[in-house]
Amino acid sequence: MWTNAIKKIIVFSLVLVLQGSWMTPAMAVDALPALPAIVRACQDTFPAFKNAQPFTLPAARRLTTPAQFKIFLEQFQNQYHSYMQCIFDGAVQEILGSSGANSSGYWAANTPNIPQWLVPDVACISSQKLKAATENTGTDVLLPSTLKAYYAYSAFLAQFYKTYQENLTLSRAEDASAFLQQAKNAVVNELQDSLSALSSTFSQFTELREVFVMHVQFQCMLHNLEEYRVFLGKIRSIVLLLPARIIDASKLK
Amino acid sequence: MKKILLLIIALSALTFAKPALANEEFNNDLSGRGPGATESPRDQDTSFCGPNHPIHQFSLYTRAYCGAIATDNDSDVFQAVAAQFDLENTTLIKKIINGEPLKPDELTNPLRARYNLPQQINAFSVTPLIADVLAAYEKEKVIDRMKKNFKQEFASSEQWYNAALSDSPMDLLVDLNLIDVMLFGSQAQWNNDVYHFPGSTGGEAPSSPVIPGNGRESNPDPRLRGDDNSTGTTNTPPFNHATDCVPPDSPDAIPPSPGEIPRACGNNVLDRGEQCDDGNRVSGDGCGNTCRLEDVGTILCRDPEAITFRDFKPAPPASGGGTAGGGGSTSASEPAASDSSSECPAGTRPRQGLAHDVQRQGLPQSPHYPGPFVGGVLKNIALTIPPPCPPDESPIQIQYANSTSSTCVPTKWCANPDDVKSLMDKVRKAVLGAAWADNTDTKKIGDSIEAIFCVNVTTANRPESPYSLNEGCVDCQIRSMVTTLDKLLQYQIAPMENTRNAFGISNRWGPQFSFDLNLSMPSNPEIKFNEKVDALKQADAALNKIEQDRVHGSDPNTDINQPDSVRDTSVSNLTAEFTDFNQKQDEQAFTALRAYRANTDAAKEQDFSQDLIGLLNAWQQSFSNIQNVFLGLTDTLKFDQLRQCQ
Repeated sequence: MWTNAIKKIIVFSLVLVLQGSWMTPAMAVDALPALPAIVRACQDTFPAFKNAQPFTLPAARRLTTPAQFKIFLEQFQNQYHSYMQCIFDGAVQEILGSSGANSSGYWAANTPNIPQWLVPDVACISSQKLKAATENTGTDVLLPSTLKAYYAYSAFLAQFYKTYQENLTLSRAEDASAFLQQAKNAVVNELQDSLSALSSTFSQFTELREVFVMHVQFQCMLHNLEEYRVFLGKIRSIVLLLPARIIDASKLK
Repeated sequence: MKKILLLIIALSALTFAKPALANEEFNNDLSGRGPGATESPRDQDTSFCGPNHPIHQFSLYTRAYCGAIATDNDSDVFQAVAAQFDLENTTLIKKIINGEPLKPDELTNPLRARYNLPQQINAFSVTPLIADVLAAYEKEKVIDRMKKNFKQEFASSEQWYNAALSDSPMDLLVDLNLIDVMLFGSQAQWNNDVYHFPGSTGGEAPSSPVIPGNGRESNPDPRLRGDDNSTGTTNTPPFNHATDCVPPDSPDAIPPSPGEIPRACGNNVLDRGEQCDDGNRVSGDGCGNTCRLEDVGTILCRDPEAITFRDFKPAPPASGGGTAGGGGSTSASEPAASDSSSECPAGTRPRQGLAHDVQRQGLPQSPHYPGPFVGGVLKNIALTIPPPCPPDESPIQIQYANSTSSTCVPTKWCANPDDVKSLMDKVRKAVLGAAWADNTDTKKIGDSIEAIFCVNVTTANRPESPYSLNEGCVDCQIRSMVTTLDKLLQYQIAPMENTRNAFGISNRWGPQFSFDLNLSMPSNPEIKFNEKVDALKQADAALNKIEQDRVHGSDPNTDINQPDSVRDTSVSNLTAEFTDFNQKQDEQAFTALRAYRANTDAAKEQDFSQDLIGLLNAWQQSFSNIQNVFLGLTDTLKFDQLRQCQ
């Protein structure tokens, strides 16, 4: 009876010990004191990544096969990139939504219709509002959070690979070597691709912000030019009543 | 105690070795999948870039990551590395990169010779080869990734700057095109980032722009002809003389437009009732034989008086000498039936409320006129299908105010830069006057216009990198546009000058007419300045003489040769006098205008003033709005960066 109890206590203790040793605090994206709103809105999409702590479980020790490695890696990729996608999609929505137009349906996949989120009437938004939208989504705002997530991801994958390296059990040594090399390639590629994607996204996003501001202003200018043109036409229709020979007021001597 | 320790060790060993906690539990705990998920883990591709994870149009990150991802798309990299080692396929390269052991028969002879490999290889002998392959792989991977990134960024650039309709709701080139049209008339057209000038300065007749939906094109597709309401085009019913024409005194008749009845057509004076008078009664030169403005298509609109403020409309098929199909020009010898009354028999007028009345309410102008787009509607054709264009033309799309139009523009004009330059000179003279280069202000504007027009950025010329030619050119286009707008608004000359040209180019207005209200601009200030200079020179000479006489003891008051007006004045008084003179002249002119108008039967003075002044105020307000938007442009964050580009 008591031996069973002791056994349970010992197992529990071992689990706790193992938990402590496998904890990867870098994996958890702890909340910054003042996270940007866009990043804060994405925290809910990240619980799996933040709380996964996969190796705290007894099953973590069973990361012994290439198939398991692939499944795990894919899962972590999904978590991390979904989080990043959430941040940047939120930023794009923040930019485009600043026009005040309803952007619902805007995110519908493969939508055949162009969303009318920028008709000239609503395009004339104040430059302050535009400025706020662009500043809230600036690189300086988003970069710290995204970089922090990337470094967490990077450290986590390194730890993940190390676990795999230690646990991989195969009958042939040369197979183990090849599998480890492939796993290493996969992790390295993933990290390089992630960083590259981050850089590329920031470049594209900067361009989007710039173009959006100009587009809004151009649309607004077109709106006013249209007004100008309409009045001009009306004036002309009235002035047509005037006789052919008019004394040029500005050239009289 | 020993037993307990042994028990602990044994239990620990059991825990680690317990095979019952296999994959199923492992995945249940971590991935959230149900039991059995690992039995077929790849039966459904749930990877981030897999087919079950759609990449949204504006999801920049997803597009960037999945575009750059190298894990499954390294074939290009493998190929590049294999080529460096003279290998026909990538099998060996993949094995080396994946860390798989090599077999002797997998090594080609050239490779053996290159690395001096023995017949029986071992891990040590192939180390240099593996190191070289890995190094080449790393290098090619970096290059490949950079290339993909550039492509991504360039695609993004294209998406925002020059989007296909389905790509993006915003397209800066379309915006600029529309602003160009507003400012400079329909002369300005973009096509694939190339600035085009419809119309010709030569004798040949280029294909005129086809405006789908207005009936000019001869495409058999009813959607492209505008017969189909689903395309959003105007569907004009056929004109029926029997029912649509009524006596002119009928209440149903369209009221006569001002100056409809010509009295002395052909006397080179625009009399009341004439829309134009070019001194002849010949049709086809833009001013018809009844002194009505006529639409003569695109090529013959060279006579300034022929500027028509009417929209393109289809020339009648049997109108005479010209052809009117397939986007070609309309008849050159016969007047096109652009006037509504000409469609009714003599002595009758079109009945009100006809569909074509609506169509003609606008006041579009000739597409050849390099002035502001004064009236009418922009090419408001909601057409998602590009128009069929002749060989020398290309379709462009214009998106504006919830509608999209398409049209064809000639593509040959940018082939020869001299053509553009020559045309540009004409445009500048028309817009800014012949002496545009002599005046500092107009010269600045003229130069800016040239900066806009002299563009030749073709898609083919663009490099893949968005950081070199493409971005520079497109950005500089925007910058030029902004600069020009700046100048336009700063001097407030161009809108008025353009307006003056648009209105005053016809003798109905006189070449230098201005409204002489608050909106009027000083006309030809250099002339007044010359007058002032002459006067000041006289005054200086007179004062010098007085001074000399005073020094030499002469009494200026006794100098009978000195004019009284000069003798008692000073330079400042003289300047003030001239300023006052100008104001008086302006007032005099305005008074004369009022008197003239009061004595005419054009309209009651009060109504006229109310209408006109109200409109002018609204017009001025709309111009202020433009200025405000422009100030907003310069105020935004990104335009600070734009300025750095200058």
